[in-house]
Formats: sequence, structure tokens, C-alpha cells
Amino acid sequence: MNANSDMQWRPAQEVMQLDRLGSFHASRLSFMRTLLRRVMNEQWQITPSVFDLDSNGYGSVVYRIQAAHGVYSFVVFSNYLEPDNRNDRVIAEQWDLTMTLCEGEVSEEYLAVLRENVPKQEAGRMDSKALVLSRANRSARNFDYVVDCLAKGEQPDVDKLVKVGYLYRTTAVYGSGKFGLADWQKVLTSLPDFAAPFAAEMFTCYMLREFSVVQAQHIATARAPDAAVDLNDELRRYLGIGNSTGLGMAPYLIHHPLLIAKWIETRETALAAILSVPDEVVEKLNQLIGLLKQSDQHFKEVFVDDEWQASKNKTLSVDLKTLLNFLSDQGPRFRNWSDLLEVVDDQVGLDAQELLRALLLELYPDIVDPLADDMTVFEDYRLDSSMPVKHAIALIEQHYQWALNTDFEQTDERYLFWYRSEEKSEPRLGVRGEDDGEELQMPLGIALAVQQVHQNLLNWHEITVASEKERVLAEFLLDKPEYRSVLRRVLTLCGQRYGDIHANILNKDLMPVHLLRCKLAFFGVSKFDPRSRLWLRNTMYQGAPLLKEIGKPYADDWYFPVAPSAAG
Amino acid sequence: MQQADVFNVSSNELTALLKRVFEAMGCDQSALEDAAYSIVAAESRGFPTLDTLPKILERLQGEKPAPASGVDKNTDWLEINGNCSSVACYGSVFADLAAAYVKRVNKCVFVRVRSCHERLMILHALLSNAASGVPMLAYWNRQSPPDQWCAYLASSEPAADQYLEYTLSDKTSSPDCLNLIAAPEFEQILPHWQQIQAQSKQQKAISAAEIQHRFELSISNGIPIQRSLWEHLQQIALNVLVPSSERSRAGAGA
Repeated sequence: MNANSDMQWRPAQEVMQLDRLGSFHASRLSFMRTLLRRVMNEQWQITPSVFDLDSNGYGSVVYRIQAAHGVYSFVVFSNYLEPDNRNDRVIAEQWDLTMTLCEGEVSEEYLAVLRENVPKQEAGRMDSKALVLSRANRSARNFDYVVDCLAKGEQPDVDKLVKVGYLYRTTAVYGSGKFGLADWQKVLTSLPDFAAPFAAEMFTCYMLREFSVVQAQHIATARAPDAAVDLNDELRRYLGIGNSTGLGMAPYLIHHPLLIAKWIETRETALAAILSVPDEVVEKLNQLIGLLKQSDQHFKEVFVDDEWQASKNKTLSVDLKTLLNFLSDQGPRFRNWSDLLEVVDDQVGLDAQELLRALLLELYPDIVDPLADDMTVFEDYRLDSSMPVKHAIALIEQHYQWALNTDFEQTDERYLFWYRSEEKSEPRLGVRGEDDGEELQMPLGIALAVQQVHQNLLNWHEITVASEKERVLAEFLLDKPEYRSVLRRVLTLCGQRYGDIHANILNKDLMPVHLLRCKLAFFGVSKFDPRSRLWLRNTMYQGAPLLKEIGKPYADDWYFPVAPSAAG
Repeated sequence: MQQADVFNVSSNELTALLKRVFEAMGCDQSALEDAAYSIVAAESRGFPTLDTLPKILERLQGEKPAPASGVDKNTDWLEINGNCSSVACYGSVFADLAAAYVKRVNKCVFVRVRSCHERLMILHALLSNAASGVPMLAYWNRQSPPDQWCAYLASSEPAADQYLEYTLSDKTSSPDCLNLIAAPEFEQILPHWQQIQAQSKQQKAISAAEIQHRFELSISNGIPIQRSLWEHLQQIALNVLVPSSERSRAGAGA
């Protein structure tokens, strides 16, 4: 979009704080929302082409997808899994369901190849026709219960679905060339239907959601052909897909800073554009209050065991009341959103501040939706080797004060280290001096690396300052090539509005779930349910339209869904 | 999915594995990244470098020399002692130096790196600098057969990229070096490329269109690799992993 002179972006030192990123919520820029806008508006045709399940729901199913620019196949294999072997961790080796999304039609021959490899997941081998490889486990609390209800001719109790809003929980969704899958660059350049961040992965989860109910209904009907009923549409719409996300997602945010910065800049650009719109507070205030009330109800239906998250949710609940009261009483006196936010930000916590911003995006689809096409970036980290060393020092001091201010003499600042376990290369956290593996730590301590290169640049500059010509980075790097990587990173990011995340992730008090939530919010998930500070469960696609609704008018209003009875 | 001796891997997958392999060999973060990018950049354009990987790894098992610091300028050429280092790991350092000097003097710059290995791996650095607006060409002699030379021209317009294999009609060029010529404009580097063409007996030429075609094929279908080499690399990469224990599982939230 064209920026206008009134647009004011929030500064990086505010937005890129880890606790704020860990307070982000799904929005209409989230990838699930963006994907479904395309699926619904382009009216993709999705039908089962193979349906080969036995009475227990085991077997294989292929869906043919006619998208706007091509044909794809979603292939799912369902196998019996001993309940004791049901494990959400990445180290698991068996799952209830395994699946893939492929280009084109699937022949019988190719289906046999997929059947041989997809259920093995990481131990199998895919090819470049396949875009995604994934797996999912049944919800122990819901799946059998829902099948039992349907077989008896009854609908499941809404209260149970409020506690767990899905039948299956996915535990890994791989794309981007892993295990032989198609390269991201292929998807980006030749498969326009999925040429957006994580679009193929999000679509796979959407298809899993469809299949989960189809399979439950199939088993119920096989068990009681005369009595069984289908899940009613309201409940079906309310069911999403569970997701379990572990520490493995955290390094992604550190390894892809340019991409994360792009997502954040797009979101902040949308906000800046909205805040620059004059004289519309009164006009849109009631709509915003309605959204806040719906969100309030949504969060009342979030149940978590984790004390930290429960406390965060409680604060949000109080803040939502504050916001609703404030907007009802004082809202009409504001002329623009910018002034209003300035006042309310002082009264509520980060969660509510970010929720309010996510809801503001809902009010302006004409501004926001076109920006969703601008969430991809070619991650090209470049170094201008002709840059004078003193200029590089100045840039680092300008953009990385947060890193330079970290006192690494304090043991708490270097307390943690990250490493990969021999168990499926799973990223794990260790305590320095206590746990094994420090010598094999992953280079994720960006703040420490920035301090080190900054100090070396200063030392080198001091030694060479007397030389007749101004020394440049290329000369520094000929002397100290080991700093090429970090310099390439930081100097690329210095050119961005939002660069690196402002956090030392080696700190003792690090909350990795903040990193996970930031990325998951961009995916569009809801109901964050940390199981520790290292991993969390969440729900995808609750409230989203059903496959059979493709072709009907699409309102794109399934954010912060509430249980059918509460909505009623 | 394939069980043949050769199968295809994605460039993402190959890059990730190579990073781990070079990490396991003790390379620092900069060297391991550049080595992985260099190999994938060459392979994805159909220039076989994976064949030489075992030899590179063998060299890395010993000392890991970094390029010597300091630049000599006795002729028109800037001379760098490569100190027996790998162009896969340090080619970008050499090419970036040439690019920086081009920006300083705004005319053609000549850089000769003496004593360095795997010179085809300079491709990534050439492409990267060309994309940043500094067209560059490199030429070097092959070790086998020793009278054969190679040259690559990279410009900001990939449609102008070219590769040559040739024998020299005169013997004045320095063998066992990596020679880089960088210029502020493509038109300034073109005469040097044409001079190489004129003074040599061309053995093989690969056009920009062919290079682009190979690249698109790699992106679409993946990069072929010998299963035995893939498994060998996987084995090496295991050395960056930490043995698991009950305590370490707690570090993953279990």
C-alpha cells in the first residue's frame, strides 16, 4: 500500500519486545484467515476421489482439490494406534493419522508409494510433487465420545467441546523441502495457490479438520447404521483442529529474522494506516465494542491448567471489562484511533493492547486484506562489504542497543544454551555448566554475538584508524572472517523497520512460549494453552467455514469463535 | 521415496544438511553457512561440486586454515595469500573484497587469491555480488587436467551469466590461483570476458539460458545426490547432536 505522511509506525523497541510478541493474537492478516479468504472467494472445488475406510475408520482417503491455478490432492492414511503409543512429542514414531498434500492427481501407483512412506514421516522419503507432510493424534477426551454420541443418534455436549474444541491434534506439519518435499522456492514461483507463507501447511490442517469429522461420522454410521446421525453444522463449525507446538518452533524465529520482521512490518503498516484514518471512531465504535464483547466471551471459554497463562488470561479478562467500560463511556469523544489507543494503552496490559489492535484490523478489511499479499520476502541476507567499519559500528549501536546493554558478565544472562538432541534432532534447552551438550550449542544467542562483533569492530577500528584510507568491512572480514555471518545478519536487519527480536534468549528467565505464540498468532491459532514454559497446545480453525459452504457468500467473520450455545 | 542409487533432495534440505556437516567438521558459523550456500548454488546450476565434497571434508579434518590477512599490491593485481583455505568457506570474503574496492575506486579491480582450493565454489560469491550490482568474473585452472581452465561471468542480469571451459593459447596466466575481476558496470567487465574467449581454445561453453534452465529444473525436481554420499553426510551430521537423557528430555518440556 502507499504510505501516507500521517502514518506513524510503532517503534521497533516497543513492538519487538518478547513479552509483547508473546501477547499477539490472531488477526485477519493471519495465514489461516488469508488462506480461507482465497479458498472461499475463489470457490475451490474439493471432493473425495478415494474413500477407502473400514468400519473402524482405518484406511486411506484422497481429496481432489481444484484450486484457482491447479489441481492438488490431500492424502490421509488412518492406522490403528495403541493408546499407549499416542505421543504428541516430535520423538514419537507412530500416529493415528498421517497425511500429505501433493501437486496434481494421485495415481494408484503413486498412492502406493505414498502409503509406503507417509506413515513413516521423518523416516520415509517424499518427492518434490509433495508440498506438506504431517501427522495427527486423536483427542483422547473427544474422539470416542463424539463417535459414541453420533452412533446413539445424539449430538455431543457443547460443554465438552468447549473444553477441547477438536477431534484431532496435529503434532508436526512439515513443508519447505524437508524429507524430499518441494522446495519453498518451487511453491513460491510455480504454485501460486500456495505461494504465501505456510499456506500449504495451513491448508493441510484445514483438510484434516474436514476429515476428522467425516471419519467420526463414518465410524458412527458403520457402528449403528440406523441410529447414527451427522454432527450438526453449528457444532461442526465450532470444532477445529488441535495443535501441539514445542520448542522446535523457537529457533525458526531466530533463523528467519527477515521473514518475521516482514510479517510484523505488514501488520504494523496495516495498523499505522488505520490509525491515520480521521474521524471514524464514532462511526465504528459500536462495531468495535461488539467485537470486544465476542472476544470477552471467547476468552471465558478458554480453559488452561498452566498458572502463568491462567493469570495472563485473568488479567486480560479484567482489562476487557475496562476497555468495554471505557469505550462505552469515553469512546465517542475521540476523533481518531491513535488518540484513543494512547489513552487506553495506559490502562490495560499487553494482551489487551494487542487484542484491541487485532480487532481494529477487523474494522478495515479494505485496508488490511490487500496487505496480506505482502507477507512473503526473499530471505537474502547481504553485506555491503564497502561499508566503512565505523559506519557499521554506528549502525549496530543505533539498532542493537538492547543487545549491547545486556550484561553478559551476569551468569543469568548466559544461563541457558540451546542444542539439538539425538532424538530426531529435537531442539532443547540446557543449563550452562550443568547439562551436557554446551560444546554443541546452537548459535542462537544473537545478543551475545552482536556484542562480540561490535567489540571486535571497535578494536580493529582503533588499530587501523591511523591508516591513510578509511577501512571497510571487507578488510575487517579478511582478517576476521568468522564474523561474516553475524555482520551479514545485523546489517541486513538494520535496513528493516523491524529487525531482530529484542531478547537475549540465553537468559535464565526466558519464556520460550512467547516465541511460539508470536509465530502461532501469525498462523491464526487461538486458545493458547501452555503445558510448560517450553511448549503449548492451541486450536486451529475453530469457527471456520465448512467445505460444504464453499460457493456460499463468505463473511470472513470467524475470529474469536464462541460456543454455539453461548452465541445463540 | 526413491530407492535408486541416486535420488533427489531439495535445496533447502541439502543446505540444512551441509550446514550441519560443516559444523560437525568444526567450521565456524560464517564458514559453514558460506560452504553450504556455495555448494548448493553450484549444484543447483548443474555444476557438480558434491563429487568433491569428500575431499573437502578430508582436508577439513586437519587444520582449518583461514585466509591470511593483508593484501599486497605489486602489480595491477591485488594479491591475497589464500593460505591453502577452501573457497567454499572463504570465497565470499575474497569476492567481497573485490566488490568493496570496486566501490572505492569506481573502476575494474583485479584480485588474485594464491593457494586456495575448490575454486568452482566461488560461484555463489560471484552471483551474490552480481545481484548487489557488482558484476564479476572469475577464472582458474583445473587441477585435472592441469592445462584446462574455467571461467564464470556473473552479472546482475542472470540472462548474461556464462561459463567456459578452455585451454589457453599462451601460458602467462598464473596457475593454482583464483583470479577475480570485478567492475562497476557490466560493460566494463565484458571486454575482459571477451579477451578470455579470444585468447583461449574453447572446450565447452554453457550459456545463460542453459544455466537458468538447470536452476529451474533443480528447484522443480530437486538436486540429484548419490545415496551413499547422502548417508555418509547424514552420519557426519550426527556429530552435532547431543545424546539424549531423561534430564535432557525435561529441557524440551517433556
